[in-house]
Amino acid sequence: MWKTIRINAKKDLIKTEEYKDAYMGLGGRGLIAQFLNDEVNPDCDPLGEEAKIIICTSMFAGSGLVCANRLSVGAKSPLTGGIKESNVGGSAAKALSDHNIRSIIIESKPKTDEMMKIILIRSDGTISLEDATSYQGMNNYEFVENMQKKYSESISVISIGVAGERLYKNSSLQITEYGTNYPCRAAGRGGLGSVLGSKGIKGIVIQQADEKSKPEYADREKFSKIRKVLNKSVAEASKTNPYSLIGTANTVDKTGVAGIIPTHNFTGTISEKIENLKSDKFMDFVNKNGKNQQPCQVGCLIKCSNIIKDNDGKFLTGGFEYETIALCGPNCDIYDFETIARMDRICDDLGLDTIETGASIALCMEAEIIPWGDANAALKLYQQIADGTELGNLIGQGTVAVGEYYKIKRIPTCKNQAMPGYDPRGTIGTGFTYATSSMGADHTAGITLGKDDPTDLIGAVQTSNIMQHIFAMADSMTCMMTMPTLGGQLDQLAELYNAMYGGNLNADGLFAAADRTLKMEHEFNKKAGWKKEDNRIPEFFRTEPLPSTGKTFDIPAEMMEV
Amino acid sequence: MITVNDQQYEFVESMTIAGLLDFIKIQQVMSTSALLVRVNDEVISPAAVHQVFINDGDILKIRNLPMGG
Repeated sequence: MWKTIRINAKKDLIKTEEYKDAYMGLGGRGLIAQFLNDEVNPDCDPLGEEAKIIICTSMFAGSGLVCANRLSVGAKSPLTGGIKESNVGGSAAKALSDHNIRSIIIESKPKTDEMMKIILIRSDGTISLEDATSYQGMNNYEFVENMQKKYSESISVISIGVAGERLYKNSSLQITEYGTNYPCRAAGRGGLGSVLGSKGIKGIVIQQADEKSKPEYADREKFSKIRKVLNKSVAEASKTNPYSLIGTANTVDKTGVAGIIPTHNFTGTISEKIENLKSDKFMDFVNKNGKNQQPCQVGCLIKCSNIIKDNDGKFLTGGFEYETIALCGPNCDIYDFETIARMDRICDDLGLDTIETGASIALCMEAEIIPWGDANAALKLYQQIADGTELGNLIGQGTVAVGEYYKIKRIPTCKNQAMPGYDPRGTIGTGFTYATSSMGADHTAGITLGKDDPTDLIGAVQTSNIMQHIFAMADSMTCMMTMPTLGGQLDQLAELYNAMYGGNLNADGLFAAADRTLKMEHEFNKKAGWKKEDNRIPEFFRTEPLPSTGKTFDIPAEMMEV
Repeated sequence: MITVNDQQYEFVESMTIAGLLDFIKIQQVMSTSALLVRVNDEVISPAAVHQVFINDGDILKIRNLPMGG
């Protein structure tokens, strides 16, 4: 039976609880939606006493299902003011699962003059709060290095950098990657690093369990049989899948040509320099010193991650993804991988969301604080964030904060969160997701992009709705990257669920579970003060045509009031 | 007859959409059965494909399940 670890940050109390029967069969995003509705006042201050943060594993973590060792971080977001689930790979979920831990809940808040703590899960399963005074002000790479020296090379770490400590609304939690053990995997969106920081927790250090716990199964033999078929199907698909062969960076080939990749603060102006960022150039760049086809978690068969090394052959960054490339690159008129990879490293080190940061830096360019496309000037702004200057602190508070401060009219956000790497005028279904999702503008909430992305209103809205359910499902059980294969075998996924948890769920039941998750999220947000009329796409997307297509975002406002 | 992405196929009684998609995958028209399907302009969820039967004369449009990251 799974365990829940509950930590009271004010009283320094650690309690181990049996996993609630009512939560059986829940994991990842579904568990977070249920937990936050059960235990958190939606009206609370996200960084206050009443707020709670939950870190949990997916429903199939530790089971050997492909890409199922996912970690979900959930809390009320200080950025959007709504519910937030941020989903990430790395080594931590498997490490927690080996300790039989499904979730860690951190509640209350230390007195402001108290020092930070580390949650240490030892190899024998004992848990303690350790003094983190000497690590305060340290960024993620140095912190992880220190923890490895102190507690062993093989630990998994979930941590925040100075961004989280300073309670930036744009702060991430960083997770060590399987294989490299560097903190290059990010639970990036929604500013959840600041929620952990507000609890006075610098990080969670997990030693490998002496005795690895195995999940309980209703029917182990049936589970193994179905798992084998599903894993094989993903492995087979990976042989031709560009996300496997190249990485998520392959998306530039499609969005760059179509003018959907954000450029020059979402103007959509296509530069011939986009050629510098296409797949062939990416492969040259990544293979110069590093490698692609890197799994970020145990049991990943897709391997969309990578290792990027600098010119001296030293590790620079990993998990160098499309979204980072799009927002820190072309959206700021920057078209070279080396600079963007350095930005990625800085963000991971400080604990910043690369999407929000890239969008904010573009607004600094729009405000003429630095010139467009000036990579060195941009890197100096990143340094200002690290140094905590007045401007750096402003950027750390997110894109809306920067835009409002400089009185910029074109602020590309929904629910205060920066849009990811798809211009909503070029994929209106994705735009519908940005505006209506419980997560704000978030590509992992349900994109509709691709060949035959509907351009008719009804088709776009229907597709968005389906994809919002698919992503809610994926975020509860495995990595979204498996869905182009597993999405066609929902009947088998339902049988897999039955073999683990018992019951008679079918594909429709899985879909209904995703629907319940979405409804709970919307319920939370409604109580937090979100209104239907807030489901808006910024006006400039309705008035300025996308240069590549001549089209504006044309889903009527009233259709988005769902 | 039924129409799938402008290609015509013979109608088979009592076939679900999932069955049709598997057939199309075997024919190597598509490389996966993880597809978004529109039947007569109505988007069908990947869960419902296991329950919904094809009717003679249906017009289907199918596309790979979108993904990005």
